[in-house]
Amino acid sequence: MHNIDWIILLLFLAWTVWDGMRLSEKTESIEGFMLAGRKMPWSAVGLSIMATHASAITFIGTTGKAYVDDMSFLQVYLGLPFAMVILSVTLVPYFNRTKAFTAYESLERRFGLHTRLFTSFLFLIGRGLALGTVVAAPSYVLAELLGMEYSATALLIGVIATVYTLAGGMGGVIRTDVKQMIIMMFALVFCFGWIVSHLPTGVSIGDSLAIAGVAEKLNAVDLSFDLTERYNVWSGVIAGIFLMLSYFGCDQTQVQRYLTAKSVSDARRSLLMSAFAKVPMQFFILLLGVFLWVFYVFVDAPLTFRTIDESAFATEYIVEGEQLRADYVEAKSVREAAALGVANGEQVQDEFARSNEKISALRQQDAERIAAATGASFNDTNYILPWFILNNLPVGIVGLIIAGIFAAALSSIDSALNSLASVSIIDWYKRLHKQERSDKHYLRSSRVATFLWGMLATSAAIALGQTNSIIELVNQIGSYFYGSILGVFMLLLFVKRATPFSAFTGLLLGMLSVFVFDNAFVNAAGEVGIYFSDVPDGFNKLIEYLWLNPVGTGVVVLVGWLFGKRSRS
Amino acid sequence: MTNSSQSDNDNRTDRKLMTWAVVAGFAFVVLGYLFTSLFNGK
Repeated sequence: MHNIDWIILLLFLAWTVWDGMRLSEKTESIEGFMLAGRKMPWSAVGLSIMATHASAITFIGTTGKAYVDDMSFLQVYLGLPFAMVILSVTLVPYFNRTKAFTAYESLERRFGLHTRLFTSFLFLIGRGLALGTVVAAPSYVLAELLGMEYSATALLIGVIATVYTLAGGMGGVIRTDVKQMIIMMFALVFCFGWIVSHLPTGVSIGDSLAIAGVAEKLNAVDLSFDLTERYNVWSGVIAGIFLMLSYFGCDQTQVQRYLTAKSVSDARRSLLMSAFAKVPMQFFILLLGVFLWVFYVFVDAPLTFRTIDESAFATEYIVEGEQLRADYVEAKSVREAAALGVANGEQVQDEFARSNEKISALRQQDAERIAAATGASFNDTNYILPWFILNNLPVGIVGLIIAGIFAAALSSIDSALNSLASVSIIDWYKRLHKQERSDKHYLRSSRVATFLWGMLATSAAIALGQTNSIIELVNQIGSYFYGSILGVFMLLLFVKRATPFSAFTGLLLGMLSVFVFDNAFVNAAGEVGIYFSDVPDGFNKLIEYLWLNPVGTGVVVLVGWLFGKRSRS
Repeated sequence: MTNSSQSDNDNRTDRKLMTWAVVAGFAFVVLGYLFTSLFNGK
């Protein structure tokens, strides 16, 4: 990376720390530290909600996903506008009325201390573990972009986020989130504009869409109903609503954002900003990935985008690699000629599709070759956009775009740190501490908790690295209780006969049901089996992961209602 | 403007925004489907 890019990046990081910390001396109470004194304008809260939702992996992984597959990932977000409206009329006024600090605090009055502690414990475990991976995932990509050691990059991200979150509290987090969101959007729009303006002469935006269409990259909405298919409109709208209700309504990382709003109306508007903007934004990020793919149809690109040192590979793998790359160069020139034909309206769609399929197969073979040679799985999806940034963009802009990736990473980490500290102090330390202490004491404790969570996440990121099995395990743990916690909040709002016992039993059974359904498989004859390992040939998942959320919620509500007391009125 | 009329105004605006958000939700599905039908696999 050029020195000018380094200067821009370092200036951005220094400015972020200063901006996050600059009003720290005004934070004198625990309400100021955790909820910014409940005085934030809805526009700032709304942008902070969006920035928290969009991590660095959203930025680089989503574009990579569209490049490698298609735009079907958009469907995950289709339930979001509906979920935001439901939250605006249910949980938002409820939290506002109770003047809560955390989402789980509200559960104690109806369902007892054990339900409050258990749900907040699930949040701490799930979000705490996930935070390590939120630091780890972009660190790998940024380390390669910057030519730095992985552990030094993870340490840099972790320490910066911890320092300004610890000093500035929620006010600092929201203030920096707003600017980070703007920088991230600028980076995306600039990349898109740059790609479009650098397409070959005679290839318009319409031609690019036609080329991408032939390769079936523009598959955004699929109407077929299939529970075993990961992304379709039904899983997105129906199961997606449960996922979004859970994330925006019961996850302290997001709830704490709209608890800072001045009024219930401001809190609603901050959520509704995502309802209007999130789907178009995701569409745009995916379209950027598609246009990047079109760009590399015409411009030189490697077979796989992750740089691997092959000097230690066995000779057979090196020879195989050379052959694959030679085949790729040949197939790429055929595809480029056919793409120009498609752009000129010639009937060469079949030839283009064939050469494109050949290149996809070569990419797959190369990934398998590298995996076999290194003994570790290989995936370059998250490295496509960074490769473009480093190799195609001009000096000066590279630093700005990498600042955009840092911004996306920091805006998710700071919010999670602040929420983890809030739940640790409010739901555990303050609640279980027999002697009431001063506001200053809890403020100091919150800063200590932020520091400890920051160091824990950074150490976990450095120690665990990008071990795929661990990342998958963390995501799996999260998906087991997301829907079930939503179920408890539904009991709180809508099921009068639910009791502490029925709610807690429902929560446990809901999580158990999700665990069972996640390991349920079905074959073509319709035989269903539960397999925790060694799934027999011919068996596929009974339901895809998005559907686990309604399963969890449904079981909790059903058990909570069945085991509850009949209302006297 | 009194506090209660301000609150009435806010509630009316919120209701309008929520209605539009539902309309936007359905519109995203329809537009996504039209986009796919128009360009994909052609």
